[in-house]
Amino acid sequence: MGWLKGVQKGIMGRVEYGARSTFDPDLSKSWRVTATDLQIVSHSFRVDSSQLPLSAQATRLGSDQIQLSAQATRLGSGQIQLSAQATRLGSDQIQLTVHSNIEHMDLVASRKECELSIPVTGPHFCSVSLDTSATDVGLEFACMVLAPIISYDFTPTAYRFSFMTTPREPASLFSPRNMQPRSHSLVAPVTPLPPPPPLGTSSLEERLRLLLTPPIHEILSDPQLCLPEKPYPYQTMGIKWLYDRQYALLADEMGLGKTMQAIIAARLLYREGLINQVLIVCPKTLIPNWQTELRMWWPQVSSNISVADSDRQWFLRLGTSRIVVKIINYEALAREADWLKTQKFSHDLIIIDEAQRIKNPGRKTALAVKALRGQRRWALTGTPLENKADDLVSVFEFLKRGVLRYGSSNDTIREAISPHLLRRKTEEVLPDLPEKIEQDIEVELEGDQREAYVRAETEGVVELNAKGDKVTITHVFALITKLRQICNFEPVSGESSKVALLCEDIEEIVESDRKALVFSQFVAEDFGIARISRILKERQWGPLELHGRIPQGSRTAVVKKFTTDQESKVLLLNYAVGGVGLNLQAANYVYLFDRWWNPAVEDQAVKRAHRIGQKSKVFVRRFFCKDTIEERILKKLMEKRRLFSHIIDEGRPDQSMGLSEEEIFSLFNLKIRPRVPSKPSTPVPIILENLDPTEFENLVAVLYEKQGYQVTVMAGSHDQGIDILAEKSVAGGKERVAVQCKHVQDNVGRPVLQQLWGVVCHDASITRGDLVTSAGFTREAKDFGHGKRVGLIDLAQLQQLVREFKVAKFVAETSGKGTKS
Amino acid sequence: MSPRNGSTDGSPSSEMPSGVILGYLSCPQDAANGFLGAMLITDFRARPLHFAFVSPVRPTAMQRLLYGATLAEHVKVDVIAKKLMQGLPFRPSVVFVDSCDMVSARRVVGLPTAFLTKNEQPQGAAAHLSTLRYDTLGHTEDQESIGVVVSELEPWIDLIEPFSRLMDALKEAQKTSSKS
Repeated sequence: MGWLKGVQKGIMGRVEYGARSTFDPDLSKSWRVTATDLQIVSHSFRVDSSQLPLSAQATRLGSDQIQLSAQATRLGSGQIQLSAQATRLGSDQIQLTVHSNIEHMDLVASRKECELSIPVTGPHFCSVSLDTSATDVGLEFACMVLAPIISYDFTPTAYRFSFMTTPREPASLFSPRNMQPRSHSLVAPVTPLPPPPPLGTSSLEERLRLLLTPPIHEILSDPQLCLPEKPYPYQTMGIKWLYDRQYALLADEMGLGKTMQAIIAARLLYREGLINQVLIVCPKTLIPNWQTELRMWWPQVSSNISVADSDRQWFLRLGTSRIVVKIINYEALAREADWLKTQKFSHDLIIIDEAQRIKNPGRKTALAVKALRGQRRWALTGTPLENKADDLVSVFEFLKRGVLRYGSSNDTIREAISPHLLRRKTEEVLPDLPEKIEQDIEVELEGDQREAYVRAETEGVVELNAKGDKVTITHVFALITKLRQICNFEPVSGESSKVALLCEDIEEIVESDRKALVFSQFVAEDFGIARISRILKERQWGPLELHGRIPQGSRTAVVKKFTTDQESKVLLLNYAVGGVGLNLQAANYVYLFDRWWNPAVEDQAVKRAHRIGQKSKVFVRRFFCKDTIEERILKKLMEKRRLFSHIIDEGRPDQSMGLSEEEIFSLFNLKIRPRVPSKPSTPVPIILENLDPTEFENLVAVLYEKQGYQVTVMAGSHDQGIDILAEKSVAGGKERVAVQCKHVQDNVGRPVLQQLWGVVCHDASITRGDLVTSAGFTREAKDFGHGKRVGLIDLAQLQQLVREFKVAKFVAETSGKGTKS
Repeated sequence: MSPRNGSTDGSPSSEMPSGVILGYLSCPQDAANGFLGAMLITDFRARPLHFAFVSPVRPTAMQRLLYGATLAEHVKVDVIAKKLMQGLPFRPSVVFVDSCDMVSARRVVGLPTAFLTKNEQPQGAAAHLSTLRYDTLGHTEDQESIGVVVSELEPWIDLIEPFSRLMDALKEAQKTSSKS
């Protein structure tokens, strides 16, 4: 360290510093270098007291921190130590601290420490004034950048979002018995994706939540959801569309599954904990349908549904967790219109079905619905309200007030409602639908009609029993016919639940410019076509009729008018006349007002519309009355599902309905007459490859019957993969066999067998499980089944059994392919 | 390629394992934005529980020089992954990454980490058993735990699908950040 001598007053000690490495410091960015990278250049100089003030200069090189230190060592007698330290405090200041061990030294601040704040925008000066009698004062400045560093660290900022959900599902759903692997329940992805809800000013968190929610097809593929059937792609899209929206008008054409889409969307919201309760408002005639659909698509909520009774106000206020779904009809709700205006309770989700019911804004129905408070509001309708602007305004006053105004142009209205409206027509979703959609529609008898039915059945059974051994099948049929007539219409008042339901549909069909066929076995005024026709005429729907009472020469004209006249929307036919040979493809909605029960006859009826030349999908709706003879017959037929039901064995009446005499008698729990042994039947030739899965199941069912089992064929979706339940009494108890049928070409593998084994293990009443296939089994499957209570029946064994019990005769196709008998 | 552990017969458990929490970590890179990063935490049904992303990291020329070939790993692992792991409200059972180089995030993640991808090559008779491949890149101690989670959840959910949601959310977040 050397001294600079000869310094004059105002000596400047210049301190410089620099980095050892070469770099180009970008002053626009913050950077630091380690102190070790610097060469510390220090100067020491000696001054005498006359040469004060002494200053040092530092030049900022863009560092975050600068440390200046100055040290003075007195040379000569005594010692002076003076140090100055500068620390950059912030972006614009440096603090210089000067320490001194000199007593009696007057520093600038008359303190032992001197603190100076130095702006860093330019060259920095720090000065230390010393006033001392010392003759030799050494002052050393050293400048050093502090340890903090000019570093090349990266410092990104993190942003976090939490989505706390409390997924909810009744515990029973987690039973292993309900579970199937995902491969069984895969729902196809939807392309294109449904349009996102209008987010507008939604927060980033809300947008992220929507993006991070699993795709709808993945949610619906969750095996814990246990959907009985996979939704069609357009339905998947509709479910997602509803799920994302607080306000929504689902206006799919009738028959495309609006109810189902709404139920599943509501179920998903409930499952996520986003809603706790749903209020459904619908026409009274549709309440049973909603209950049926809820049982099908949301079975876990079955015991948590409440239908409004007389205490409507209590019902509407009901908000316990025990009731998840509340259903009230429009008429009942309308009675509380005034009361609702004064109430403040709110529902999580309100669904109004047949939303066109509130299109008239002045009516009490509309006023009552609009008075309801709800966080989410969905409206369902099959009527193309988009064509009627004012009707839409009233509906949107319920959905989201302020979206529409009366008097707006149609274009304005369409644009305003576009984010909240989803309507698909049958033709748009044509590729996704099967050619024919059939539904059994449950109808509930009420009031006088129910009383009349109960009375007639009770009295009828009494009369049959009174006949004792003399009772014949004819007597039974007479009672069945009488009861079926009452199911159509109450004899005195003409009250009809079926007609009420039919009219709901016909209204939408007319509005949608579609056409419908309505079949009935009865033509007479009291119970059949004539009465239906009169009712439809009163509604200005101008129905046409086609039955035995229409002169032969006029029938062609009727058909032509129905086909060509746009105003003719409904054609009423009986099975006998309307069931054969007619081309009625102008209609794509077919109603079986009452059943013929013979599938072939009903199929012929449906084929009037479902035939070559039909441009639209055909919707078939088959009415049956709940808790009546109609339901009992339907259940029996579904259980049996005969393979060759169109073949009527000799000795059976034509109206056998596909049921045996014993089964017909059992409809009323009557004692049967001694049976006449039937002629042995000849095995029917079957080409195995031509059977569809249902026919294969029926074949297997018949096989078990022939072996003495009482057989139940599982209807609809398969219960845990089981297709047939076969029971028979054996020594020591009852043998109960769960049968799974696999009509496939490839060998059945282990996973299928494991699933069957799972069912056997979890149900103590099942003796064993049988897996019947028209192919074979893999080695792994055979190994797995070894030693377990499962039977593997492959093609060879099946052929042997079929031959042994004379069920059928497998033959090859004429091309020579197929299975040999 | 790590062998699969867990169930050897391919049959799914009769119950869906609950309580498993999954982590999905991705650090994509592009010329415009530099390095991005996001993490998605889900429950056993792949429902989102937590999402975090970082502001873009755009290295300067000096940084590229100083870090050289180690730049990408340093940024992705020591900077972004470490940042994302801080303050997680849920501790994942496993962390899946969508690129091989991200498996090295194991050292900052502190949890079993694996590169998850679809199994493009059927494995003969066992092809029907799994459609996924997972790679722990030498962290053999993680193979079992990863294997158990994959084999138990694979029959019930699509384990790879959350990555696409993560990327969509990251894009949306970046869009919002750049506007502000």
